Amino acid sequence: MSCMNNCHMEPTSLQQHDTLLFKLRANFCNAWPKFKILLDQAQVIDYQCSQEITEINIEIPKSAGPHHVELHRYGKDHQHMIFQNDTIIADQVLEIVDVVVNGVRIPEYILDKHTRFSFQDQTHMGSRYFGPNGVWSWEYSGSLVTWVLDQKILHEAQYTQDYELPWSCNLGPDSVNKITTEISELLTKLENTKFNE
Amino acid sequence: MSDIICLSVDIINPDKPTASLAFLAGICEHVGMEYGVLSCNEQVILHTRKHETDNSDYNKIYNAVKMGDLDTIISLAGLVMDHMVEQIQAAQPKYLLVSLFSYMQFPFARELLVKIRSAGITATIIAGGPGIQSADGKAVTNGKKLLNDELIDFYVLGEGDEILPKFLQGHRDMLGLNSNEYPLETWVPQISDLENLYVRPSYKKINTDIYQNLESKTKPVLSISTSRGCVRSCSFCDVGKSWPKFRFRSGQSVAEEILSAYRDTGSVNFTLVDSLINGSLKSFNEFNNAMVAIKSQNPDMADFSYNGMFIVRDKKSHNEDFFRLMSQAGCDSIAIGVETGSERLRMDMNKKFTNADLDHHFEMCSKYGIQNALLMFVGYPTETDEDFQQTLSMLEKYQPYLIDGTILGINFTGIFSMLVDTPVYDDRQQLGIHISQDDLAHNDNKLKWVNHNNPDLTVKKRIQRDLLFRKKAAELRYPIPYSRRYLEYLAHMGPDFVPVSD
Repeated sequence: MSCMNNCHMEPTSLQQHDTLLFKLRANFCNAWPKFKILLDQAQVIDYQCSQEITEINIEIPKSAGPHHVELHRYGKDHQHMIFQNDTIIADQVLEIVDVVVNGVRIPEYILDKHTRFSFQDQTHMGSRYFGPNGVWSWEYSGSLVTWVLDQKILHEAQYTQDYELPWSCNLGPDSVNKITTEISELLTKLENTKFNE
Repeated sequence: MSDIICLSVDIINPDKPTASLAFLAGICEHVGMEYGVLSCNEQVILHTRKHETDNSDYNKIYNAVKMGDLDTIISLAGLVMDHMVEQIQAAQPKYLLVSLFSYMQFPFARELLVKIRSAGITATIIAGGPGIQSADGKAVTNGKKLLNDELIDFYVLGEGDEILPKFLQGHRDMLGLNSNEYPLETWVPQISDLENLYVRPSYKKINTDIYQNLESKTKPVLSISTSRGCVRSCSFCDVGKSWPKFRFRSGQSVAEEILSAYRDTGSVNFTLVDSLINGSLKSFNEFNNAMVAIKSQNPDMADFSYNGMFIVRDKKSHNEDFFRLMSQAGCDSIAIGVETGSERLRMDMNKKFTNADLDHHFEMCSKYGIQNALLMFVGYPTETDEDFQQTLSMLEKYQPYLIDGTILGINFTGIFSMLVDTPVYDDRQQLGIHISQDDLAHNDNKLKWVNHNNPDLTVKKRIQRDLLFRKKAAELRYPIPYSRRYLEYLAHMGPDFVPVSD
């Protein structure tokens, strides 16, 4: 359901970017995993883990339109898996443990629904555990925090009642536009009202 | 038939029963007299609600009450009042105890009392509450006005815990009990020994099921009071008028009252209705420790939760252990008086916490799962354009906390209203604030003021900031409850419009 796409309003921003943090867990097997992070097809990080837990920060500009964040897991080959009797007994793995925006953890249900891991001819929605080389990708639109909040509202609307909110998914897909338009009309009325002051 | 009917004029929100009626009920049980309860809020809800979440007609009445629009009040709620009068008549009480929640309730209360008198009801009527205490610029209280109009027989100014039981037992010569017999108006001296003189409220006869329960709890949320007064003296607040000194109950006694209310009603969710729940750090920590113990001893209370108003303090006073204990005890949400994003303006208001203190507060609340409703408003007399921009910046800064629920939303009261008996009102001349003589005569706190030291802050500018704030909040997805009815209220703006906070 993408009703919030129509009511997405870009806030008039006073701050220029958000900070996205990836908390990653890595397994060593003859080497640590390597990965690149791309934002809107431009590479921002090329990294090789050096310990079990890694935190990577990237800056996400607050700009309109669709955005793509990708994590490319690469460089793994036969040296990075150890078999014994056809059973994997050691494996070089990379896992996204948490994704945090501006210090606040993004709920898993949002990542489950809106991210995917693709490798060879397979795609697994919501997977954040990368055994093979592949691409984890995430698409969102506009300001990341606002987009996350819209997904949260959509998710919670299934379970809770609204109460006197001026906008919400239940009020309609264009509800944010409607309320801001109403406020703009009041601002115009205000401009044309002469007060006895 | 009942000896007493407790009547609360309390049309505020449809989400929980007001504490005032439970307080009056507690008084009646304390003196062992038969009583009935009647809440204007409940009656309006019952008569107007078509669906569980449809409060549109309720909000129309609320806005009419807020604007003091008696014609609309009568048009929308006249039948509700008539029904209430019939219920009182049927009960034939000896006493009618009336509580007015706030000054805004006065026109509704007055009209209801006119109907009560016109119906020939002979009960002795005694009134109290903040709405009775509220005075106009000439210091004439609403209680005095109702007495002069012969709509009530007595009124109380101040706390009723001690005076009301004595009144019901026949005593009449008491400070704070006002009637035609005593021309000089007096106040009840503030109770010092709150621990022993506090009368426990009772919800036994209150219909709590009709309330909307915005917290989505399974049982109604009950109100409880742990302290009176405030340790701050925020410039815009009149709490200091009613309660000059901060008095608090022991944390242990509060916990015991909660246990008792749970045994009476099954509710495990409570709102602490104090001006602030953490005024006394010692008592608050004691309460939290006691609730941790009670929960462990009463497995059925595992879902116990409480919320209340809270002041932000520095990291040293509110360290990590403090927040951890709150969370373990069951604190699930608090309302904090952020007011503005401008540290300078907050200091003007005497709020005494910095933006760094706020950063620490949210960080801890996020870590320990304590949710926050932000209390904010615009248009304080010394607010500049820069202050307002800092407020908008703050909304952006803390937007991520909406994701994990650390911030629930904004209880945005809109545009600052100047109340009589507040520090900013008392200091108005020093601040350069002028209020017209005509407005000083008004009883409804719709004071039209101008700050000569900040002349750009016209009424128009204040309304503009209100609207820009709401627009920004919507864009950033901050919930502002009851915003719909406030926008409908603002639509009434005209040349003589004086905005009143929600």
